Amino acid sequence: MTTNTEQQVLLAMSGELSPAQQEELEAKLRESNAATLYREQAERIMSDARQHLSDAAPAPESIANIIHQARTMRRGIIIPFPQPVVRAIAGAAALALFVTSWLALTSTTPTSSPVDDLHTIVAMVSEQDDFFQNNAELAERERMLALARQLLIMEGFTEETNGEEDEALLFEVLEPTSLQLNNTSASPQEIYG
Amino acid sequence: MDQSDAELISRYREGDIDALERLVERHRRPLYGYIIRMGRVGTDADEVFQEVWLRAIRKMTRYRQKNFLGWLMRIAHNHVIDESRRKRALLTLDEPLESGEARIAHVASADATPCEQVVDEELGSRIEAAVTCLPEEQKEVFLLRTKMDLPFKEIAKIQHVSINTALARMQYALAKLRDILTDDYAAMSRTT
Repeated sequence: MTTNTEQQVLLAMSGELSPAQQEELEAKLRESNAATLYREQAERIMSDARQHLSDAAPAPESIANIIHQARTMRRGIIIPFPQPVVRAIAGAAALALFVTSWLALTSTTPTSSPVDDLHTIVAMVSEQDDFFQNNAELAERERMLALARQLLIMEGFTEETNGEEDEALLFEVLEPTSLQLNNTSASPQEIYG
Repeated sequence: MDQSDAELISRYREGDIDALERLVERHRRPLYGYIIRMGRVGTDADEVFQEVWLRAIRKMTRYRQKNFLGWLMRIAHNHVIDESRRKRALLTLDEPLESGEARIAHVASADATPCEQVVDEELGSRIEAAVTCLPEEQKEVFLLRTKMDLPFKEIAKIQHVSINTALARMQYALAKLRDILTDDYAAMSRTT
């Protein structure tokens, strides 16, 4: 009998042979008395060992101590939410951390630069049509927009331009007389009291 | 109805300590028996038993195996190995005894070894003594296979060896037991 057959016998006893291997072994066992004897002896020794090797048990205090310590450990990590909720919160927190880190790493300008502020003002003024009540105010708005756009172009922060029209308005705005807000007739005293 | 190990673990993870208690109760005897037979002389089996369970509890949130007893025995195996390494580091044979005699003189005794005494005992005691005589790796495979009914695939994982090595160790263990318990098992070969 070969070592391989002995190993097959042991694997058959532990239920680890495939049906095909099992059939192959059965054929060998039919042909070989040595293989049959090996299986009988192995089964007998293992069965005797199972039956006669004493099954000592640990002291009940040991089990009580394990449970006590498990309870203490459990208290330390107790979470008042079901696991799916905890997972969702942890996932959201991780995502927020990732996005913040990514923005911080990829951002090359401060979060609130003067140029950003200028862009914001341009956007706000462009959208707030209702804020400007009369033609004079609307004209002033156009001048302010033109000035802001030209400043952005001159500083190289944007390429958007309305061409000559904006440029003309810019020079008009930069005229000393224009800077006195000449579209309103009110004197500073009337305005500020 | 008896709940499976997997169900009890799941309940414990949800905070049910009673489920853990049932799990400890279910596996206390095989684990304790293994510790007694595999632990070195002077090892406090109850202490090791508790330590193995506490290690298992700490790892239980990450438990993904199919065979809980196999997983538990892997923890026990690693713990027993750690303990024996620690004890070996503390005890050197060069160190003399308090009496001044060399420690090594007491290791090899002229008295009959347990393996030679087995003939005078009852079958249970003879088997127990014969198993004690097996080399550690073979004894471990034999115990895991017979007392815990673990498959060789799982035993190989516990011992960090191939399934063929685990099988070979079992073959050697059976051959040695047959030799030691020759009066009990030789009759089988004569009658067949």
